[in-house]
Amino acid sequence: MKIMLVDDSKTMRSIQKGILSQMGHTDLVEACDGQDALSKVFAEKPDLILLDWNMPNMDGLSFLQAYRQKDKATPIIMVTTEAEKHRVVDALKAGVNNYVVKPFTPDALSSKIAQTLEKCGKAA
Amino acid sequence: MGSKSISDLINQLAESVILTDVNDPAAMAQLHGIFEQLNQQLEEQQDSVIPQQVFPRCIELLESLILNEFDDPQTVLDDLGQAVGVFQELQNGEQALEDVTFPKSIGFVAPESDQTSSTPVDSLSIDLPANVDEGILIEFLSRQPGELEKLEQQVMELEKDNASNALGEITRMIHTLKGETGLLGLTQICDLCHAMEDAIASRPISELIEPMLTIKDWLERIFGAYAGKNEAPEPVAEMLALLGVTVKTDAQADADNAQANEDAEQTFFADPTLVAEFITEAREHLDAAEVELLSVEDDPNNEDTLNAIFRSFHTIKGVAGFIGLPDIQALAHISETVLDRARKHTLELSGESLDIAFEAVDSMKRLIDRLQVALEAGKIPDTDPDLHIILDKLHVLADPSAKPKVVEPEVEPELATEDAQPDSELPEEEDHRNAKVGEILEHEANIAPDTINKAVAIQDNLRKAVPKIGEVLTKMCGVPEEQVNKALDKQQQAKSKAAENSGQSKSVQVAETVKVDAPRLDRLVDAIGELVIAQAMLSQSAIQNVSGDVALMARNLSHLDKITRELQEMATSLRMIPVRSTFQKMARLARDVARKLGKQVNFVMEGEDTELDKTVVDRIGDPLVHMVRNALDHGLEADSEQRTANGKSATGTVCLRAYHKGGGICIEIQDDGHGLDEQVLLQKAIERGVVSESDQLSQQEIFHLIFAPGFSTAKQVTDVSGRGVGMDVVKRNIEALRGKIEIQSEKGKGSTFTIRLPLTLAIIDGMVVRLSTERYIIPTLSIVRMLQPGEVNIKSIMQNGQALLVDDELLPLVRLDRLFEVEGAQQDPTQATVVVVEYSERKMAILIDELIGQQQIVIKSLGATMRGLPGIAGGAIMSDGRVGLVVDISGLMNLSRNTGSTIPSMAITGSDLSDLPVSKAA
Repeated sequence: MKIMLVDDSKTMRSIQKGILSQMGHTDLVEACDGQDALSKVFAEKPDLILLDWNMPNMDGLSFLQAYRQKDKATPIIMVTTEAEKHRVVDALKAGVNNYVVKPFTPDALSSKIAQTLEKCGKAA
Repeated sequence: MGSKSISDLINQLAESVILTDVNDPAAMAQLHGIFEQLNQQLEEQQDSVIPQQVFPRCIELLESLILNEFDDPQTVLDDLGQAVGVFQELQNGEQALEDVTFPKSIGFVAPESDQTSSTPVDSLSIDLPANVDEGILIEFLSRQPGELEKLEQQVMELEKDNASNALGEITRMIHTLKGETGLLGLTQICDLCHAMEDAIASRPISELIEPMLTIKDWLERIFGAYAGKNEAPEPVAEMLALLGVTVKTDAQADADNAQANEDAEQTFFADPTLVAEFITEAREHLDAAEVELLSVEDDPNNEDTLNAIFRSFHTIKGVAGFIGLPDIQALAHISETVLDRARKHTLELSGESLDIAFEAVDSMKRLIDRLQVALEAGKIPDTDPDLHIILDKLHVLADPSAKPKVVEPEVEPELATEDAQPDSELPEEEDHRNAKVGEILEHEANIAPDTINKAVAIQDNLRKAVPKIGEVLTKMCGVPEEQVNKALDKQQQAKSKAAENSGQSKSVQVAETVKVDAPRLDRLVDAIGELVIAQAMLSQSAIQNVSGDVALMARNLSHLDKITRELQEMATSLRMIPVRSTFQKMARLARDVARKLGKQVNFVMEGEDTELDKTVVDRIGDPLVHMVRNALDHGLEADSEQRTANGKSATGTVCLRAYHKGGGICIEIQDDGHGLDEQVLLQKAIERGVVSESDQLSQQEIFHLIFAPGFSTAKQVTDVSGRGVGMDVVKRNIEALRGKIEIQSEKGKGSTFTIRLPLTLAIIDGMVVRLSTERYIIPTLSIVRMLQPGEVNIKSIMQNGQALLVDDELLPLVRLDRLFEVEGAQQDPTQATVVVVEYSERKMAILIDELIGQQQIVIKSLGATMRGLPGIAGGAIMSDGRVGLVVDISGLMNLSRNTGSTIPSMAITGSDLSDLPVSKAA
């Protein structure tokens, strides 16, 4: 399964990569902001996107709106922080499938991914 | 058309609510949307049978569900489902509003139903936890009087008959209460219940009857207080005391936190590369934030800028949270809050608040530096003792209504963890990993926990004096000193052991990195592709043309040559970075210095995108700091009146610019101040004995006097500059970069300092010259002209030997063969060639045998033994594989000036060195 990581922090992506590879996901694509993600997502066709919300150039919401116009199926998990939780509801309405609050444990991420994929009819 | 009817929406809702899974936030968000639509429609339509008041509550519940704030989400969702069922009944006219009941969590009570059990929420007399769920709380509170009565009954039964099963019932009730209060965020009651459970398990029941009854009364009163019926009771601590539980002091709690942090830290260094990456990234963010902050000064309300700064701290906070860096996280968090206020325009960043923001960036940089030091040593980062200062300031900005926090948990862990060196006042030496002295004493010396608790309490009272726990124990609690000392020794041992362990743990170097933009790398990859093709073509032509089509071969070779050259250029360009980052630091510096000096300064930067070798950019920082400081402090007039009196604008201008010139880069610092005064400079230099009165100095040489060690023109030594160290350091640093400084200055109009630097340190253009059988390289940058002198050019001067008249200038003639003791060189200038070189406005003529040609050379150092040879800058490998020596022009000038002729016992030639290992230049 191919997972796309969209986060402006390289360290954050490394952390997520570490957790994902512990879970056995090694087919990963990285993007450093919404714009970068948008330029890669249609070529890479990931099975799941982990999307940070607060990014320069193009933030998570703008990416989501642009992406959802063309692809409504690919599950997206929003990566957010405790302080930004109030945005979750709007994000979900805009087309995010699930969310995870950082800092998260490998278990938390893993169960969120499993849940999300199950809802979207894909096997984990 | 338009929006759906209310009954349609309710039906849709009924359908969705059944299908919704609590683990599917997206589905719940849809539900949320329908509720919102319904709410809006009902708001517009006043006469609906459904009470509109219910909806905000439902929406709230759903939001909490989505955010996973309930322990039992399914029940809440079921309640919502039930509520939707009630909507349907009402909408279809099956039931009247008076007859229906909503689930309690919805918190809506129909007008006619019994109101005694419900509690008006807004009249609560004591503060509830911020995020407490009102509906659930009301339901909970209404149940409590009955429950507490039952509890009382059971306790009394227990008193009568110890063997009855009342105890089991009591335990169960307390446990339930604990769970419920925990969920509701009523932590103090939850803690109390927990203490009761503990007490029941560990102490004789007969002792507990009284306390339990008192606690029951207390609970009644606190629930009454929550319901707004009566005053709040005494603090929970008194109840806990009844159970024999000492309330944890802040100090203890802090120590516990420290312990917890320590645990976290021990695990996080499992991945040092991640931390190293974080350090690099955090620095980039901070540099960027600093730049943005500078622009905030001019435009405090620019949302993009504020957002960018916010994001920098936000990212740092996020990552710090992951890898367990509480200090960094705390600082980033509060800074983020402040910036959030700024971008929401509830706080303007200007003046003092902007200074605090800058301070926050600086503090964060320090924390990152500490982290790097700790990481490289393989240790856990220690706390910054000054961190609370900036945190307090930020707290005030973040929440002006709050008083500044006095105690910072992270910075005072020493309150309960005894320091191994009682006399040491250095907080840097603190370490969290120690066991508490109190604990050791308890274990090893059988001191009663009560005594230690007492001591801790006393210690807590004496916070300001920060006494050591050991001292408190000996002085106030009568614990023998030897025991405390023993405990201290133990702690010391444990500490050093821990230090050893951490010393062995892996350490990591934060490697220097260069950011390269993708197009550059693409070009490099392209060029390498071409190289491969060219190489293939060449071998092809070699095979096919055994007979020898030399022309084709030559063409391919020249093609290969071209690509190699390109590749070299590109590889060099990979190290090139814009001077922007260094310039921006100067902008910040200029701002701070201007404020400190109380001068109005307009600091202008030009050409920040000019690229230089990374090493040069990094190393130019220090000299620039001195020069910018000087420009502001000495260059500009002391006050604006002085300026206006001279017909200048009150605001001084200092311009920092970078541009390409020739094969190098110029960095200029220009001020429009009073300029350098030749007379004053000269006089001062004579006073200091730097020059003698008889010396004839050019203007340029007089200006350069400011670079002499210990030379300061400032009449007063200020905080900012003027101690006379500085400028000579500047000169040394720049010469180390093979650069030079030129000064232009006009009295009353200002000065310009120009630093000329080579593009890169690794490669120079060199002129290869022959002297007898030896070859030397003269840097092309310093060559002015070359000529074959005629008889008329040669002049003899007493003492100084020969001189050469070139273009009406008399230049000293330097014979390299004499300086370097090379035999067999051409002695007659008319038969030889002369290279005229220039260094800091001084020229000289070097006599050589022959010019061989120009070549790009990679300078290599001659290794430690040969370092610092006067007149030699380094070695280079020539095209035939032999070593050629690179002539150091400035060194050569000093050499010829001081000695006039030969350097004794210094015969060095390339051939002597050809078998030496040549190490790469740093």
